[in-house]
Amino acid sequence: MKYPLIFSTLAVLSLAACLPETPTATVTKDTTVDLTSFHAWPNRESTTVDVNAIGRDNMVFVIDRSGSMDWDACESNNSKRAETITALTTFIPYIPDGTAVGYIDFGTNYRITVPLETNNTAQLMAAAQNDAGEWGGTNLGAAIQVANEMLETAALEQSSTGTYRLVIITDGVADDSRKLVATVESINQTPVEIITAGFCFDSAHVLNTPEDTVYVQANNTDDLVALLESTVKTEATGFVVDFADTVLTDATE
Amino acid sequence: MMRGLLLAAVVATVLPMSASADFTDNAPSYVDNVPLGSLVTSAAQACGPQATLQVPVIDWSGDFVTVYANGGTTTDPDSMFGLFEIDANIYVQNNLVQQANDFLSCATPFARVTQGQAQLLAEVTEGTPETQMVAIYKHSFSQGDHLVVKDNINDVTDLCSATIATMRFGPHTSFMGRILSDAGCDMAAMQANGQIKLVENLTGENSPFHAIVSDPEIDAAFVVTPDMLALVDGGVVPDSKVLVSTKSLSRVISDVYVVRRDFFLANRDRVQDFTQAMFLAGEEFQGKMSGLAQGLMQDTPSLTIDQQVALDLMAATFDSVPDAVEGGFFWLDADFSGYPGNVSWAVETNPRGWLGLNNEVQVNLAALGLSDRPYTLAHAGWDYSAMTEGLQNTNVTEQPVFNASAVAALVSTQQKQGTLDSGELFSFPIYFGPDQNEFSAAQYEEDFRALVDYAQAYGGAIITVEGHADPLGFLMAKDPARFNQAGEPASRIEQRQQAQSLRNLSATRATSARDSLLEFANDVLKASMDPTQFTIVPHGIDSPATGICNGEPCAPANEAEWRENMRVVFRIIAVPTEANVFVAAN
Repeated sequence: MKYPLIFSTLAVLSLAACLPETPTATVTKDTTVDLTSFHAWPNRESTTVDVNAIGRDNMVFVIDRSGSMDWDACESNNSKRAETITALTTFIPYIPDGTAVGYIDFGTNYRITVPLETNNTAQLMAAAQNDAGEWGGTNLGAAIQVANEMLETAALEQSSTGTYRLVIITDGVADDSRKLVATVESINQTPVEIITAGFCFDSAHVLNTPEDTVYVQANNTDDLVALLESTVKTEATGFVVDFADTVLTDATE
Repeated sequence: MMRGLLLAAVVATVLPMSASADFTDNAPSYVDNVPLGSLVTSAAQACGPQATLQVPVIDWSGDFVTVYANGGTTTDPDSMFGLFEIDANIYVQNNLVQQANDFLSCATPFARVTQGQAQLLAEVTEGTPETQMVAIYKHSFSQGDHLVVKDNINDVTDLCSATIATMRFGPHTSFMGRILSDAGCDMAAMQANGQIKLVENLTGENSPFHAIVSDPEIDAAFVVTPDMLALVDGGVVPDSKVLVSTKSLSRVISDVYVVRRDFFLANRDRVQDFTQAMFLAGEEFQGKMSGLAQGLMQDTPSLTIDQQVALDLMAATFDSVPDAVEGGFFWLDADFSGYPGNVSWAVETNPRGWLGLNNEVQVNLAALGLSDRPYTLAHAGWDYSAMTEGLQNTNVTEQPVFNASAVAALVSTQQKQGTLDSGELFSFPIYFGPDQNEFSAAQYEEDFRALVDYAQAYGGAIITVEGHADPLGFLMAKDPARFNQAGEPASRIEQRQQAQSLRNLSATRATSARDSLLEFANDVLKASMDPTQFTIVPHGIDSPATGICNGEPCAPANEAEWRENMRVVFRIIAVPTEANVFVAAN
């Protein structure tokens, strides 16, 4: 049984190469969202708009298929890959009709397994049940970048309306840490929400920064489903505050 | 159609009608605003049998159909008129006074006028039952007339203090009346102040072109396409621009035939044959012109053999058409009505039809002091269902004018570039309450009536439906302490979620307002609307009425400001010349 031994050895070597450091977010105390760049997103010219897609919700899954996902998940006797499949197959049926979904998996390479479209939940479910691993590398940053581009293209087609979510299931290991950090921090200036279902992430990880991203435990599908059902309070329902002095002070500063 | 490219091509190929003359140091002769009747010399006479019909045409591409129907200036037996056993002699007569003389004396029982001119002509025709006008046929709506302004005029409201040149009794009368009315100008005061300068001719010497080139007091002039191109693109008047064109205000200059009442009553079948032959000839001519725009866009404009033959005939008939290619460009200036357009034109409740447009024109002409009193002009009342034999297109359903996706992409790009305001002609804000998503016609009826009117008149303009949301909730969540509120400040991701949610709310609002408007137009006004004319622009909180303070929305300082932020703005925007957003032309 040499194959498993070689496989395991390669896995350890590979994992060792993949774990040089935690991709850490740039520390900032600024709590301001740059609304100018937020409203300008995506910073590309529209060539066509699908008027029927205005307001559409979009969700791209970015799924880690690297070798490290074969190790046991934290707080579980199952492998992270098995937990991922459970989480996805539990979560997918809750995705509201009309939501455009896409699916990218990555290891050494990344693949757009399911293009971002509506009415392809069955395709998504089939992709989610793929338990094949891919040893050799973990290009998480590149995969997120491509997933984000899929959302940008959708935004161009729907005048930036609707919602844009990246649902990332990973153990956080990345060969391309710099790209990952740069990509995520860039995304965090836009309407794209990064929702990471992770396996015991360090709170310093760029995908687990409460100020900018949503993080849930990958094996807690209830939290994932709750995210889908959450609504955001929008306008003030009444004019009840007296802040005229404050406003005048702000205006004169 | 690639109108922008076509315009560029026209610049390159069309010899401007007026530009060949240098009017720079040669002031035009202005003429007085006098009633048409004071210049008409013929008395009303009875109409004879008219074995050969004398049929006037004017220098307008819609009139190509009349020439084509006749096979030339005299009737070709194989032409449509020939097949209907109509013998006609066609002649060009651009002068309305001379047309009035010919009509009264029955040198011809026909008058070829715009509906604005019909109202002017009414002063001399409607007093005698025999000479009263009966409308029989509509050629087209014009898309080839323009209000060119100098650089001191920035928007339509500036026209109220401007001095404007236009042709007396010309085709632009209704165009001018509508624009000045929409701009809210006191037209009587403008006339009294001498702000409306009248000239004798449409092009060439003593034309509006001549006036704006040579008279420094003239701020604006109503001109035809070749003159517009010379003025604006050719730089004859530096920094001049088209403020409004009939490409946007596309349902205001309606070119029609009227016939004397006595002749109509005595020759109803013959007049009906004339009309039906025009429908058939028009459809055939339009078919030959299919693909014309694409051919004209080539580096070297090209025509099919059919187009060349048909347009050569026009060049031989109209002095204003030097050759077939220029005739082709000219044809594209007309929004040809055909049978479907004539059927809807005859509907009394259609505000852009014969009756509806006449009512609008009357009001504006009276305000301008160009008409002594309103006239109700008759329509032939054809049974159009009996006139369909041989026609391919009898579908009277309103066809989409715009490629909705292309319009939305254009507007999205302009929004990001901050250039959306540049083509604005008019805007109409409507207001609502917090988180309101529904717009009842009962609540907004007055606004909706006005919007339907504008949408129909400005049928070639885009209407953006721009949703806005109030930022107070966003600002309070971001910094509760600033507003004397308890609680933790929202995280950045919560702020982004809320900003995006407000954008979506604004999109929902805009969509709902548009849908309510279209429903109101359809259900209450029975008005035919083109949904592709409307495009949704979701602003969210990027352009609050309260403005932007240090990169974020300014908080409303009081309840009135708070309510001002919650609005949907309908904006009527002229399509940029370079934009390719139309489904088809002509």
